[in-house]
Amino acid sequence: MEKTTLLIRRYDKLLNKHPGKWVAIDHDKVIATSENIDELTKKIKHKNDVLVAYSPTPSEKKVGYLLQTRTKA
Amino acid sequence: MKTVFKTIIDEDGFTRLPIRIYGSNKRTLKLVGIVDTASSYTIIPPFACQLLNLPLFNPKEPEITVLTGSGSIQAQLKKAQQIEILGSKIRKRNIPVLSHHIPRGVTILGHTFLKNYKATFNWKQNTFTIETPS
Repeated sequence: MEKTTLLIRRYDKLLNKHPGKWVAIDHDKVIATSENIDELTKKIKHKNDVLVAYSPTPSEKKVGYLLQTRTKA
Repeated sequence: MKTVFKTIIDEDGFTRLPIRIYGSNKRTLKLVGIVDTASSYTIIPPFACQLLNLPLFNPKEPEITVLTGSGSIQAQLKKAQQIEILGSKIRKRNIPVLSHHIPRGVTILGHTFLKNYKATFNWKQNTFTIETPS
C-alpha cells in the first residue's frame, strides 16, 4: 500500500478514538484534544508540524457533502 | 523528472490526502485535504492560516468573491509557501489559498493545487493518480 494511504489509515485510527473532538497529532501520538478549535489552537500554539483534524462522530460520518467553490464571474 | 503518485479513493467516494503546509517563519502544519475538482481554490481553515501566519497573496486585493453552494461569499486569499502531499514527491510552491471556514475544518485541494498536473480518478479501481509533467 502507498505510504500516503498508510498515513491516512494511521491518522484515522488515532482520530477514531476521539469522536466529536478536534485532535492534534504529533509523531503518531495524540498530544491534545478539544471540543472547539480555538481551544486546541491555544494548546498547540508553540508546537510545529502537528497534524490537526476534526474527528467526526458516527452520525456525522453518515452526512454527505456538497463541496463546490467557484470564483464569481 | 516525471513523478507519479497514486492513492485510494475512500469508501465514501472522497480522496483524502495528508498534506503539509508551510507558512512564514518556517512553521508547518499538517492537515487532511479533500481533492475537489469543482473548487477553483485550495481552501484552508482560518485557524490554520493564523497558526502559519500566512500573508495575503495580493495585498492590493485582500479579499475575493467566490460562489458556494449557499451563495457568494467574500474570503481572504492568502499565500502558502509550499503545500506537499505527505509520503510523496508532489509539492507546489507559492500557492494561493482561500482562508475560509467549512464545518469540521474541511480542507479542500482545488484547482490551484491540481493545475499543471494530470489528475485521474479511477472509480472502478478506487484509485486516484497525480502525474507531474516530465
